[in-house]
Amino acid sequence: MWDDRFEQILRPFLPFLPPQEELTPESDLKDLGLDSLGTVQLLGTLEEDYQVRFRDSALTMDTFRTAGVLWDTLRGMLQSTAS
Amino acid sequence: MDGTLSGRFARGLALAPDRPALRADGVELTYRELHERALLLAGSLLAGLPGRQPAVGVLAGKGPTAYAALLAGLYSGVTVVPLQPAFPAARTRQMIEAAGVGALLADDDALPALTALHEAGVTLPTLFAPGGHPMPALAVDPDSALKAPLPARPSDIAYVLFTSGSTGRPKGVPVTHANTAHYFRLLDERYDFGPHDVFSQTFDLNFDCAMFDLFCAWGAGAAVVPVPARAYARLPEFVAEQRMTVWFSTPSAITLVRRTGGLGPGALPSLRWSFFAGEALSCKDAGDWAAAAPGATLENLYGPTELTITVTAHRWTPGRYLNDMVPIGAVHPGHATLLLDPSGAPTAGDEGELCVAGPQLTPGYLDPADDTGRFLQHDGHRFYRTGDRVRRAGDGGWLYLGRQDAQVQVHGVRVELAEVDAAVRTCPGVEDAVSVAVPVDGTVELAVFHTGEPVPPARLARHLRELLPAGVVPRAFHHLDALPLNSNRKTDRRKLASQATAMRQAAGAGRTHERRQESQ
Repeated sequence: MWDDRFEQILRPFLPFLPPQEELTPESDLKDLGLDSLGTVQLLGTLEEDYQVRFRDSALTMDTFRTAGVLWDTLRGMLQSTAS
Repeated sequence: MDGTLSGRFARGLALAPDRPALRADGVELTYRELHERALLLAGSLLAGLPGRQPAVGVLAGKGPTAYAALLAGLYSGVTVVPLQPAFPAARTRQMIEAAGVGALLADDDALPALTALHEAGVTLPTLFAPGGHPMPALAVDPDSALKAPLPARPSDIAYVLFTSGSTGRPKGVPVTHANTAHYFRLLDERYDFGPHDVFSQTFDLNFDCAMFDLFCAWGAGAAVVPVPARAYARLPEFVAEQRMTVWFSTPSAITLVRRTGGLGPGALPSLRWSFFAGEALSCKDAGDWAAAAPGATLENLYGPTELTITVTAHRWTPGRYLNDMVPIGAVHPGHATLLLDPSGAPTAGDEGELCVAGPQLTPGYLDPADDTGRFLQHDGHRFYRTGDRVRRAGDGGWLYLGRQDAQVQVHGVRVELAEVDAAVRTCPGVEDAVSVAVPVDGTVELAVFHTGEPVPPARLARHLRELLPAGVVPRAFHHLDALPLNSNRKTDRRKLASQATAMRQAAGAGRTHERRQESQ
């Protein structure tokens, strides 16, 4: 599962996720209110906070489909930075 | 050159046959290549159809094959109806039926949209180059390629676009070749575009501002570059890589670029021209953009689809203006203007509802019933009532004050609140619903109050995405036991609007994504 920072960054982009409700890896981000403008901002925020850079090939709507897929993509980049 | 849109492409083709007409997703097409592709597609389309159709639908996004599809539609000499693959199929079906679309030209990315349309009950002969779709197929046939674009008369309808209707049914706006000929003739006089220019293409092709991008560029032999959503995350890099010289978008893009840290002074040095349209432009946004693009002349453009793309322009200079909003400027030469007072009577005063008559005016909605109350005869002219309230500025231009009715613009998309109300009421569990506009960062978002069962917002949003364009799906949903009434026993929309704004501010305080730019 992801770190707290990831969820803190993600939640504000999900207006339809009530604060008391759990964010799961299967949560569909579009259903929870992530729109295309939000996607662009979210991308910028993640890049800045985690000091990573999404490759253009990773920047598809698929990457932002669920919380789990997004975290896996991000974690993949963090690992390749660390190694 | 003839006055049609395909005639403008022919001018670019003559000026710069081997220069790029389009660069999208790493694919570059020269004028010659795009021309030949469009001749092939248009000829194949016409050869496969039993007779002349009233209109052809162009189902195209913004990928490398979208533009050949649109140009092929124009080359066919038939009225083009740009259709958005990302729109709900039920909505696109209404447009297809209203415009009498007899065939579809689809870009190579349109398979999901074609499948959804077929499931929604649409069956039309379709030219889709990759094949394998559920519609009756028209084949791409090199032997049928046109020798030249088919001609059109000035009074023929070039394209039909749809705007939100308060009845819940989109209204079709036909625009003639004579309309666009006048428009682009004026722009040719006003601007200095040439083969070395590179135009941004931010608007979807079913939004008429896209016609400005395409046919200003193509009339000058310049290149068009669609701007993908991800480019906004690093806009200065994208603009520099593409050597972009002309930018045109809604003002919402300024806020977005500021948030992603791309709006620093001098960040966009290659731009020569910047244009904004689709919603009100604030002086702060204009000033920040101008500082980021110091080599560019910035203009604020205004115009409803009914008056052909844009019908006023204001060249920006730093200064103070009413409400800190950039004026919309003077109405294009050749047009008459008229102001109406709140009762709807013509007034000689300096403030009122703007009405415009002249060569850019649509002949009338597709459905004449929609014309009621929107057009008026005065002094021998037929005027369109824009629904926009304006005030006369000292320089012969106009200041924008706001809307007369319940229409709002969400990221540049016109939407009638009544249409959204009607859509929300179709959600299972909802009894009654009222949508209101909430101002956010220079644009508006929609918020909904509904009665009935407390349906989870995620479910409401999913349902509405089936009915409304994604950009106008409300961003907040609030359940009430009953809608508040004002002293006239009508739903108190004003109270709900201020309530929604307060709730948005409370929610927004906890979620600030503003970065570098804001903290400086």
